[in-house]
Amino acid sequence: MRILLIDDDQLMTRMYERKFKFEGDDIVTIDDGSMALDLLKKDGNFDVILLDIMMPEMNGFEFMEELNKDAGLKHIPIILLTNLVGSDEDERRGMDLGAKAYLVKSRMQPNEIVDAIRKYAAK
Amino acid sequence: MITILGTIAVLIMGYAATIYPRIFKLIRKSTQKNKWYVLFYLICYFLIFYIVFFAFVHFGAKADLTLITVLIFFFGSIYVLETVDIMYKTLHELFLSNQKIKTYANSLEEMITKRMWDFEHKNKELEVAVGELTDFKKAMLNILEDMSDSEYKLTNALKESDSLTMVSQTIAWAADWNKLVSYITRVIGLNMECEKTVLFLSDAQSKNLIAQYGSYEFTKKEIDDLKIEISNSINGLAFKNNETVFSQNAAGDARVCAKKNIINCQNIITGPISDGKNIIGTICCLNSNKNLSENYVKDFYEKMLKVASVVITNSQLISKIKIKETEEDAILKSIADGLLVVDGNGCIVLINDIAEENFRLSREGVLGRNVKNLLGFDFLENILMDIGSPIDKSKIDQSGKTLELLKENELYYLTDSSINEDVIKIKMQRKLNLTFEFTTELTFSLLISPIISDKGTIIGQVVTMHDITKEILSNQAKDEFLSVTSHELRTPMTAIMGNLKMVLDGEAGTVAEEMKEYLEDSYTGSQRLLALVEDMLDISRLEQGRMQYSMSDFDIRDVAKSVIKTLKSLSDQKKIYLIYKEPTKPLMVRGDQNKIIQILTNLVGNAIKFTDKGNVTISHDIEDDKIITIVKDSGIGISKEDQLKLFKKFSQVNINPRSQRGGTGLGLYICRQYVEAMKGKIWILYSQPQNGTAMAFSLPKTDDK
Repeated sequence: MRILLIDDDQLMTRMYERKFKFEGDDIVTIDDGSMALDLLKKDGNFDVILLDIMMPEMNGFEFMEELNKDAGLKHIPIILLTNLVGSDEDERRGMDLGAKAYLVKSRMQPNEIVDAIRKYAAK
Repeated sequence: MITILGTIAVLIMGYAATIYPRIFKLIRKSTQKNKWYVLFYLICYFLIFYIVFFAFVHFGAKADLTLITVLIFFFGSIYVLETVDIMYKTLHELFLSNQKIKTYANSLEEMITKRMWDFEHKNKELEVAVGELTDFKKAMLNILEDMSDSEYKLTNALKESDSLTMVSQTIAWAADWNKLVSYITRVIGLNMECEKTVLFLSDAQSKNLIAQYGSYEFTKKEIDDLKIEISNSINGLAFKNNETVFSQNAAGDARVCAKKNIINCQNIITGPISDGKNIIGTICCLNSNKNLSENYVKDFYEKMLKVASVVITNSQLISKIKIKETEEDAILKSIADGLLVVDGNGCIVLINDIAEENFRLSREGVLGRNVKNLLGFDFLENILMDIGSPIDKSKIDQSGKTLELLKENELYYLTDSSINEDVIKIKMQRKLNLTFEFTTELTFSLLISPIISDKGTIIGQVVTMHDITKEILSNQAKDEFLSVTSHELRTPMTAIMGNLKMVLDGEAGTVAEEMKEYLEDSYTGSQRLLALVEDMLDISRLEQGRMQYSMSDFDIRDVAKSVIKTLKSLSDQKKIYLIYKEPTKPLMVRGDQNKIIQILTNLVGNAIKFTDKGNVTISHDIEDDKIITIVKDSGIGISKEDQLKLFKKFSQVNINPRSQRGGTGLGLYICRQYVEAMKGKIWILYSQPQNGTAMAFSLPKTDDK
């Protein structure tokens, strides 16, 4: 599976990079929404996008709005992977924008994250 | 010839016609007596007439003569008749006059007789009156004799009335004791017509009578010199024996022990001053009038002193009250909290500066007014209604320390022990928000205490208001800080846990056995830390009121099964049987499924944690419109006192055995908040130390679909 992970926190990207590489997946990490959009425009060949919400330049929701405008990239399943647990509103907003799932990093072990991603990306 | 005769005849008849009415008139007028006379007169008249007539007929030849005769006769007779008539009338009137004179004479005689009698009678009366007058004169003389006595009494009465005005002056002078002394001694001095008057008050410490400055006609120096021991002086006697003492000859009286230059007088009278219970001093008059007799002055002096006693006592009481008022005022002013006291009718009887400021009221405007009529403060009315009404026992706060959780307009009853009474007579606590123009919102914690009379009825209320605006603000800041930090804590914790897990799972290469233990402990530690962070986050959201509940209808059996699945490994680890008494039919409830999972996970997790052997059982009960879920264990149980604080924030019961078991003490507090938000309840069904615990929570049941 080819995975794009967009997260501004190095601790997170490095951990998930290790985990997915261990699982045998191809993972690309990037720490900002706009840079990810640029990358996707050059290379749109990803099976799933793992997206954080709180990021400095362009947040996850803005990224999804931009991505939804691009017909060529719209098909890539997005899974929100965040630590934002403030309200159900965020989850609803993400799902409304087309996310497949809303996963809370701190509540899941890396194994569970991997399982969940395989499950949702396949849907 | 015949014509002349006819004419004459007619004339005669005409005259006759004129004369008839006169005759009848005469008849009518005549009395019974002379009717006969008139009749006779008439007969005569007609007789003459007929004679003349027949003569005329008979002597027709000599008609002229006859006629003249007849005429003469006729007129003559008429004249005679007329004369007779007048004579009769005159005679008759004369008779009548005579009669009247006789009657008058009689009555005159009678009158004179009567008057004579009257005179005699009056004379007698006069004699009596003269006698009486003599007596009256005697009486008058007596009265005049008494007058001097009366005058004396009158003077005394006037003096007494003068002394009574002292009472009315009391209040005016109460503030200045020396002025009052000068006033009283002057009034007494003037009324007693004496040179000097002095007021002594007893001094409890030195047991002396101390002369008071301001005493009538005494200089300051003289007062300084006047210290009298109670023992032997005449003032001492008056004081000790509570009686008026009179000294006729002051200079020679051994009892007069003051310096002779001060006591430069003929006689001295002194008497006690009482405050109603005790003798507090004496008033002493110095007089140069040699003729003054003891009996003359004593009675009056005693009366004067009684009035003076009242005046002095009153003034002392007023000063005491004033001091007390000042003290109370000072106390009220120095209280940092607002204070409001209302009477049984809800009228404000007391309000301090802080409360005035808090309510933006002026004391003058609100004192005595009913709180109901005060602008915009309905809440006070509500308080009044609450006091004396049945207690809502669900709002009883056992600890009284839930200030930050006070909800607006909700009353909490504060008590130390359980409430047996059904009516509110205990303190209540309530949160109140006040916003005024140009000001920020202020939040107060109100403490309302009933004032209970000896008979046990509520006669008023004391409301203390403590400004908790700052506490609220700092609580908000705390909540915000908590929410930010816990969010910021999650990411690194996730990294620690995730990486540790991966290492432990051997993803970074084989882990040496000796290393594994260290890593496992690190993992458990970080797990606990993360759980704490999660709990803190939940609580901060609960307290900020930001917790959201996505309500839906679902089968609670699914929740129970998923919880069992999650915790199976934990119970297996401890070799505890995790039993689910699964009902055959679906049990549909309404609530936030995730939150209910959290609640049940917490309850079952706790049960496993505190059970070392045996089993943990989950079961359900249906009760009316509720579904009750019960988690029962065979663990260490919870003591009675711990049960009370179980659902409180940060309550960690039974510290020692628990220390090995961990937990933030937030779990059950959160559970309670969740359950109550979902219109359910959570409680301890059963618990005994060493005999296990059964926890239960209810949720509203929905119809099976």
